[in-house]
Amino acid sequence: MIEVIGLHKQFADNILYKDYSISFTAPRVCIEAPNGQGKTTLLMMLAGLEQAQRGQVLFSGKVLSEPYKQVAIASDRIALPEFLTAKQIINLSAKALSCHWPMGLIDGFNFTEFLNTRFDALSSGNQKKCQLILALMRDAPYLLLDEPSAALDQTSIQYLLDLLDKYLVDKAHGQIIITCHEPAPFIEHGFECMPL
Amino acid sequence: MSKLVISSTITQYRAFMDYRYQAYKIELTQLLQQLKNFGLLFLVVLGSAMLGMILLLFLGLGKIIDSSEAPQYGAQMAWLYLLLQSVMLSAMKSAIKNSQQRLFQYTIVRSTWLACMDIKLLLLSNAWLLASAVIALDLTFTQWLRAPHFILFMLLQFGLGVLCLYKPRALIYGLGFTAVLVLLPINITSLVYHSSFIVLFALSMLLPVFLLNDRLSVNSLFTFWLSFFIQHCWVLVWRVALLLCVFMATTTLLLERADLAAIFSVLALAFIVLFTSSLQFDCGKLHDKYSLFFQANNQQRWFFISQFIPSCLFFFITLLSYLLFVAKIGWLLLSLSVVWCAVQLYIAQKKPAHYALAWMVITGLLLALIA
Repeated sequence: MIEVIGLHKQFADNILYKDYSISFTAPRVCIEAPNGQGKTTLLMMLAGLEQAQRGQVLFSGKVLSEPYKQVAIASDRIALPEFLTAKQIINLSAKALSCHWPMGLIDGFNFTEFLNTRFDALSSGNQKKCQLILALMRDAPYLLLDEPSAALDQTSIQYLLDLLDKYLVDKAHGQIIITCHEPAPFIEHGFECMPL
Repeated sequence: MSKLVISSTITQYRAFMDYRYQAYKIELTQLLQQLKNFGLLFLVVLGSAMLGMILLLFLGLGKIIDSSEAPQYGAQMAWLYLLLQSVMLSAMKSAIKNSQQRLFQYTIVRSTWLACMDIKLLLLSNAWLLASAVIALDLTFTQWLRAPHFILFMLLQFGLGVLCLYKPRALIYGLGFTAVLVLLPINITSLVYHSSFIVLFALSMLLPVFLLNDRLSVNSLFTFWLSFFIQHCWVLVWRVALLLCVFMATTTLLLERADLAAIFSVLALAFIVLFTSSLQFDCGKLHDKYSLFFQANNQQRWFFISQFIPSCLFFFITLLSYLLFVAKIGWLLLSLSVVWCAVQLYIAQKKPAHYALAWMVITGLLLALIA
């Protein structure tokens, strides 16, 4: 279970979260909120990639000192090196995190033919696939996906849904949190919808 | 074609021309604004030295024209001019071509008009070619007979401008090949040197595109930075070009006034520190952009440290080249320059707005100390 307690986050004078608390109890959660409400920022803070001014995030009751070791995230907010090819980016991450080359994910997303394309030359759908492959290959217990179905074709959405169905099978305390503006397919696959 | 159609075509072309001039002016203003932001103080200092720099430009052209006694030196000077011109035009390329709206342009006019406007703006932007044209107009027939290679040099200036716009890779290959040629200890005339330049650049156009980056296996921070510099080599090329100018100027000044060697050494070191440590602005920008990616990869600490390594390496390689090929420097000054570079790197990272001021203050202090 992921718990957010007394979170305060503001950008200059714009207060995004003020003494905000929420518990994500369901194993698979879909956060729903209008644009600009701070969904992505919340995911980034859960992943430890953005710092809150106050408050804490508990994973199964504990504060993670190095959340990126147990939390994997895919978000447009994380800029990927656009001058590298997709293969080079995946390789760089795989080596850094001691992961195996994610052959299954690459095949599943029909991404093989785009591996040698520079990231900035990929279509937005393929950029999203690259982000998802990077997050999924880590097989981390906590998986955060920001708008995972945006720009994806139907086949890839179906593949993603199938993957997410099985993702938590070997992760007893694991959790998947996604943000999505079109949650219907995810709800059909057992995601619990939560407003922000 | 009826009169009406011709008149309508001319009006369309004029409208397109106005659009391109306007886009050119706007982008150039933005470019100058960026330079101004980079260091207003540099502009003040370099601005006052502008007249001297223009005179130096013409002096260099004189050396290229009158190179019958020392053709290799003349060819080296010509190569340096072509390199500097390429650096300048590369920076202006986007403004010349209006690259941001290139696809839009294709939808409104025929491609020959685009090429026509590109060339017009290229000629307008190429101050190096304009300077050569001014000299060329002033040459007498007898002088022309003694310097026929100057025509080829001007042709190269124009041709390299076109290559810069449409075949930048061939330009890089060509500059590499010609650099080897001017360094070879051979005895050929200036005309042969310039003809060889043309042949080498023409051959460079025929070479297949070699994408070194695609063959690189990026699996570490080292290969990440290597890949960045391979794909953004101009951030190094313009610095190397200016450092070559510093090296050549220092060599000449040391020959002319050996008694002022201490001052020239400080000035040379000042420019070495400036051009190498300023690389940190590019590396810092890259670090800021991709820090989240490396943080997610649990490499944020090493990625932070690694951003300083390219500038440090560049500084040490340049310093070593200076010591090997230009002049010796005392240990005290050498040690000071290392500390100075570290200070500039720190300021570039922490207080970039004070970078230029710090450089000038330290340069002034060192000059005052040795005076």
